[in-house]
Amino acid sequence: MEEACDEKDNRETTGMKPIEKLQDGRLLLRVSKALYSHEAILTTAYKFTDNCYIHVDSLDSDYYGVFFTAKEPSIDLFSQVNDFYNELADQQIRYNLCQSNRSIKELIIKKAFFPFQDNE
Amino acid sequence: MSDKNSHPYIILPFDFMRFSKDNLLLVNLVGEYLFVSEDEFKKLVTHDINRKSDPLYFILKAKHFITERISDPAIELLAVKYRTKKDFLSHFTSLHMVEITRRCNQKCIYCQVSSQDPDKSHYDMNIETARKTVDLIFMSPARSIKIEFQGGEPLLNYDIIKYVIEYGEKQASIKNKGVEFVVCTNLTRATDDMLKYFGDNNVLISTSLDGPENVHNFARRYRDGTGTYRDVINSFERAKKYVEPSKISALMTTTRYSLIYPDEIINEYVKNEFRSIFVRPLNPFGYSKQKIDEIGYDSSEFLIFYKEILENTLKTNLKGYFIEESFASLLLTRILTPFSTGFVDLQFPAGTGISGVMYGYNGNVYLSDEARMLANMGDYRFCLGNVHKNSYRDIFYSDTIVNLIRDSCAESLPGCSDCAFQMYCGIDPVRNYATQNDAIGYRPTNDFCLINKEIIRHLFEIILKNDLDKMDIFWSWITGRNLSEVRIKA
Amino acid sequence: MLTIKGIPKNIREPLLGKVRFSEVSKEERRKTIIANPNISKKALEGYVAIISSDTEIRSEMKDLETPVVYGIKGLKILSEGDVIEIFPNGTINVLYQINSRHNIIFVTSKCDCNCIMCPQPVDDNEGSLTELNLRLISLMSKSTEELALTGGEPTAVGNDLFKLILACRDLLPQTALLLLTNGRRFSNFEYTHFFSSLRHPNITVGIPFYGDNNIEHDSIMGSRGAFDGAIRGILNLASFNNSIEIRTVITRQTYNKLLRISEFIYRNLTFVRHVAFMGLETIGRGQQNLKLLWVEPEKILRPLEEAIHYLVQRGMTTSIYNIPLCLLPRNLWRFARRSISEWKDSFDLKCSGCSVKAQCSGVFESTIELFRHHIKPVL
Repeated sequence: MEEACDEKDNRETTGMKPIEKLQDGRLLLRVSKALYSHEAILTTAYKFTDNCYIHVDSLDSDYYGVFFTAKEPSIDLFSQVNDFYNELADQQIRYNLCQSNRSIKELIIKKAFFPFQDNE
Repeated sequence: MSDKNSHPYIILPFDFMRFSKDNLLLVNLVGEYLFVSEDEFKKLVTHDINRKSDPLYFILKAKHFITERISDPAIELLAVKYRTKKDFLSHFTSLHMVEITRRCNQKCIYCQVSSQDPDKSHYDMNIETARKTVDLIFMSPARSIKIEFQGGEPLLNYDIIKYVIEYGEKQASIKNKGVEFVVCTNLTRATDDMLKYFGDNNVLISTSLDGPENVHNFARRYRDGTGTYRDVINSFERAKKYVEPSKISALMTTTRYSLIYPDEIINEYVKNEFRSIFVRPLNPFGYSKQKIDEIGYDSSEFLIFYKEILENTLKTNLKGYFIEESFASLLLTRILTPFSTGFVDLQFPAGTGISGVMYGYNGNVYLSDEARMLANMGDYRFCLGNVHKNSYRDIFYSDTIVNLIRDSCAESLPGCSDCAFQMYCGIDPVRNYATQNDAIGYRPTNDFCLINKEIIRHLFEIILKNDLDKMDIFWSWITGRNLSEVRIKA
Repeated sequence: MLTIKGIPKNIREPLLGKVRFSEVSKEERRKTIIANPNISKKALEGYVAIISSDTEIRSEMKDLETPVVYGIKGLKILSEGDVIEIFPNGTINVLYQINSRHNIIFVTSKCDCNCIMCPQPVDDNEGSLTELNLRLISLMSKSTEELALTGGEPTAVGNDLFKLILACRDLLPQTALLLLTNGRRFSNFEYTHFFSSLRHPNITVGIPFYGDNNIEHDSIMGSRGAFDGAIRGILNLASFNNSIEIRTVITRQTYNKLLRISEFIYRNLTFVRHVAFMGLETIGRGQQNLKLLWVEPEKILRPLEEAIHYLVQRGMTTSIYNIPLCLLPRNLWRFARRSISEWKDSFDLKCSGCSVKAQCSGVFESTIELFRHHIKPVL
């Protein structure tokens, strides 16, 4: 969220903005690899592909680049990118939670359908 | 796997959704929900909730969002609850829809099953196909079988209905299973003899009533274009002589014309003494653009209508007349109770094929009603086989079904796997394929998702407000009791 | 337990017998204690004992070997069919009252918990009560509607509990049993399996809950692991289809948690057949910890109503025990049960004019002082 943005800004070298308008009209969002996983980026991208064409690439060792092109001229691309960044924070939380409780989830489901497998 | 060294508590599996300003909805693995603030959420996920100073700690613990050790009974309880929620799967295929005939005496404006002229009787299911169909049905492992007669208009082939009922009851007795019959009929061809037979044999009647005369007749007409309303109402009167009121139910299909009559439609249902209404949106699959313009609408228009008609239904209940909106009632049962609700059209994994299946008049077996429509247009990909040619194994263990199960679990579906409503919702892969060319579906523009999601959200808004009257009405629906039995007002 | 006293004669050991007011056959006399008999000396032979309200011992009883207790002032409270235990010092414990709906079998005072409101102290000199209880069961009337197995913790006596249940099953087949237990022993699957295989036709397991999480529940039970043990016990019991009831005593610690406890039960232990909310009895530790436990009756009403409404909405059966009707709002009256044992004198003088006294549970004698300025007759 805004929190993540702030953190990002603090780590930036002077002059580099998180959202950059490219010459060809696309918007580029720089996403820190240290904070966000590519799974989270892709899951987030899915939600915006009805309004935008989205291209994800690795910019360098520290950043992913997410490139946005509006599908229709009426679409406010800047607001799409901001919404994307907000959603990304949530998706990253989901991803982190999923990683940490995947084995518990499997344990619960296994117990649900094979309740007597482990001895009491 | 003890997190004791690194974290004070283990976070149990849950999904979340930003519900309103500073309000997040958390839903755990078994559909139990909790509203928290932004701040509380942040503390939760950063393992920062303090047992000694935050009362929220105990609430989260009791509701199984967190626990301290992997050996805590929370894990066993979640396992029991999860099994309970998914119990409907253990019945496998329990709903069997049988197209008794494709012929129909009506030509409703929204009908997609190209209902053949009522005189062409080679669109009727013959006795041989009926027998093989019933044989196949009773090979299902379900302990309790429901057979729904559909069509066209099933009463046009009444003799086969009787045959299926009689042969079906014999099979049920031999296989020691329960069996229940439902006739989905427009009732305009129901004679007193038929109604008496249904009454005597405990057959349920499901019919269509779109609203008061003008609304009903807009959509539901005879082949010559005249309205069916008067005859339908007349049939209700006659039916009540032979069939218990609790065994007759009605549903309505929403057209553009219906959208402005949310009050009148409910009043019509009350007038005809129905105790439930199923408000269904149109499925515009296969319509021409012209037709869509004439009777269609977009999902936001439907949602406005649905919310109004739900509100009117609640008001009606408050005045003392019990009538439930069936779809809301189903969703509320999923949200507010620990119980399993199999509902073929809305479940994970998809109900098509595994919970409910359709048998065509010619013996073809389809995943669903919509699969039958696709086949009618030449696309047989969701046809599983034919009762005359294929075995139970061929049909129910087919690649089609196996792949379907694999591709219709919420956890593996984009847009569903991260949705907080996944324990309340479901998927219809055939509809996805028909409307979006892909059985998995593309959630951002998927009407099925948009409508269901918004209805669930709307119900949560009502739950959050916690209006005592509305909650009592909801519980009267969920438990099937009168409002007075659910209240403890002085 | 109800106790009366008289002057003993010839009593060398505790004696157990069924009370009768008229003669019985020779075989029956071995189990009978005859009360205020008006029969010849010869006819008095063979009884377990004779009890009498006479202030002087009668001539025909003077030379008898048969144990006698006379000069009993409260003898009229006894009914034909009651079962009593007579002690050498002339004390008489009434172990069973045929006209009461609240008879118990006191299994043991041993317990593995330390509840802060426990009315029943542990008696280290008790020994085994099983033999006595088996004889007691054999003397009870087959028409007894309900019996509670209580303690202490009944499951603490191991197989003896099963013996008692089997005796009830065989000798009192029409009697519903309520086993009051903290449920922890049932977290052992084999124990639960064995218990369920006893096949008593009508036994309910009643388990207390004081919170929706282990920290709150365990602190009231005075024992770590009580909550987890109870949950596992309940799950095991449910897997054998046993009938389970949950009871919550309303105290300062629990009164504002009744809704949360109900929610927990509904979502996790949905198969529970009955949820009872109980007024506090202030004897034993309940008396010692009174300051800690006591909550003004008015304060509990709103949370109690919320919890009851919650359960009623969901179709779960619920009751209120030990709270008099005058303290409850009218819309909760239908949940209040006549729950206090008849022998516990449970009404105040004020209550004599009350129009609903017959339906009211009254209050515990121990709490009457506390309640005095709250209760008032309903007119």
